[in-house]
Amino acid sequence: MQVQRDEAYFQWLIRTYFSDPKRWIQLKKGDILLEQGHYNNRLYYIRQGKMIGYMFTPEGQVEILQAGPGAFVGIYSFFSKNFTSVATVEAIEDCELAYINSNQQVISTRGECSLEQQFMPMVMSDLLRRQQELQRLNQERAQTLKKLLDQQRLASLGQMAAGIAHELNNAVAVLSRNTSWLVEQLQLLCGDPTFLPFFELGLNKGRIYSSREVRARKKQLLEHFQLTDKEADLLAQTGLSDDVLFDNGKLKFPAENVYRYWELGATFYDMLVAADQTSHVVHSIRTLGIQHSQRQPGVNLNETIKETITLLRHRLRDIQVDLNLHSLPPVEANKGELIQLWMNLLQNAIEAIKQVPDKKGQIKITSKLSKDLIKVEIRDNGPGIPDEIKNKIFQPNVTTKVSGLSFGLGLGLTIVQRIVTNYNGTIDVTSSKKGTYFTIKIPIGG
Amino acid sequence: MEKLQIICIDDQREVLAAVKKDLEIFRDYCELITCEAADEAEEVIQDLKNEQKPLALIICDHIMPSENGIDFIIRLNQAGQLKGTQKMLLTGLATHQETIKAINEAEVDYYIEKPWVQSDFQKAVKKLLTRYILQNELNQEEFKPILDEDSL
Repeated sequence: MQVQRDEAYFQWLIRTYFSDPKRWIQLKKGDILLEQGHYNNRLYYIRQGKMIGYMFTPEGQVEILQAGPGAFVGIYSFFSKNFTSVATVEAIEDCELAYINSNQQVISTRGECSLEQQFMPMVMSDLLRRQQELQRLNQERAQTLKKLLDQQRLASLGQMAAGIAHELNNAVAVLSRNTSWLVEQLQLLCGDPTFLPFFELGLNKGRIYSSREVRARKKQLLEHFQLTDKEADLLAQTGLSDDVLFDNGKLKFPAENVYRYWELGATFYDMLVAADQTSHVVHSIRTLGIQHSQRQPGVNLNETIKETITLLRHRLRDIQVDLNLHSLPPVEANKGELIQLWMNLLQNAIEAIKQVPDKKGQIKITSKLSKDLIKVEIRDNGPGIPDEIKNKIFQPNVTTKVSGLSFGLGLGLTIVQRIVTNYNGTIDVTSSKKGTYFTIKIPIGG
Repeated sequence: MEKLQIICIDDQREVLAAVKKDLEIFRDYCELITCEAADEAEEVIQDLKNEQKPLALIICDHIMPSENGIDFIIRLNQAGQLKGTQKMLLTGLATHQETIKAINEAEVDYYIEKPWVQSDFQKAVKKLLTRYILQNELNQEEFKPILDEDSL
């Protein structure tokens, strides 16, 4: 609500009482005008600059007013006639003030008999303004408090997660190490060198063909070769080409055997990937709980980007990744943290791309040095960030994934921002329907 | 004997491969078709229809990109595509609300949580296939090894 004040009257009042330069004073930024509990018999009018008023309470210092040009200061002590300031008022900019004393004579034109009467409209509007100001301050405080609580909640979630993560990591380590061991043993024991390549193909590449592609391949196999439905089905899954499987139109090896060995490998691949995924999730939750991390000199940022891509290879298999990494000076950093940073950004890019199933996914990563800043840009051709969350993507609990196994915790960008801030860097995002790109700038000095 | 048709939908290939392994015991009696998305499954259902092969069982994940499992099944129900088909939801995470929707609107016959236990999963599939065989008055003798004794 805005109070309509009679401008003409106000101007008259100011001209009449506050236009004598002999009663003007200058304050420097930081000067104290009034002190709580101290004598004051003046009413000040702010000609220029800004002032802030605060009270000392048992709970601490509370800001009660901010006043700029056109506002009055000293209203309480002046009009209550006890001439004691209720607050401490400080100049937060260089100020010029005009004032009247308590012995000021009434200068009347309309027959008012007292200063109080004359100033009443102005004082009321000023008090209302202050009240509105206070309300705004209160709202701001409530928001800050909420933010703080959110952060605390996040930190305690992180601490709790750190405990769980430790246990989970042990379990995952057992699974993943033993899987690797089994792989080695099988390679050693696998008596028949004919089939070992099929095992290794499955193990190294996993299931590279979609269910749709497998069906098409099965159909093709049935059309071109004399195979049973079952044989075609098994062979189609392996994705092996005709020349590997056939000799003069005849199967070189029993389909069942080829499939068994390949499937054995592919299954191990799945298990290793699953273990990887689990440790990543555990790690990302744990990162929230970590306050400070150990940094080492000589970290190559480009290497961390490449490493992240290796870790994400299974999720990037249908996506074209263009790397444009320029040579960068080594920095003092925590490698794990940086991998975490790229990991979260890339996973968001992958998620975005997956939302448009028919489009060929594309991610471009550029790194370069400009002056003393390392600039990394990650660009995807997904559908862009929805408008309704654009302004709050860095807040915790904001996710485009309504629910899901793929962990729509909404922590990804919160982690990203925290890491970037830890390195005194900045992050910017630009998003349209054609895609999204994040730009991260990190000073080489750290 | 005409093999029973089973469709399994999950956006993760690894999960489909695992399901396939667990359903290998039905191999001689059933044909398992795996799909990575709802729209793909819809095409397969159409193909089956054209070949006049009825769909005995649909096993569907819930959380998938684009269309989720429950909505997909509801849509197929409404289009009359799943008449007589047994429906199983195999999912890692469905909220309370979604589960209610699955029962009331998608009329799902069985709910299995990931990670699943092989024997429970196999038993559930047996149960649903047996129900299908009984409802369609198929020759029980032919399918004897995969019938669920408790359901008979």
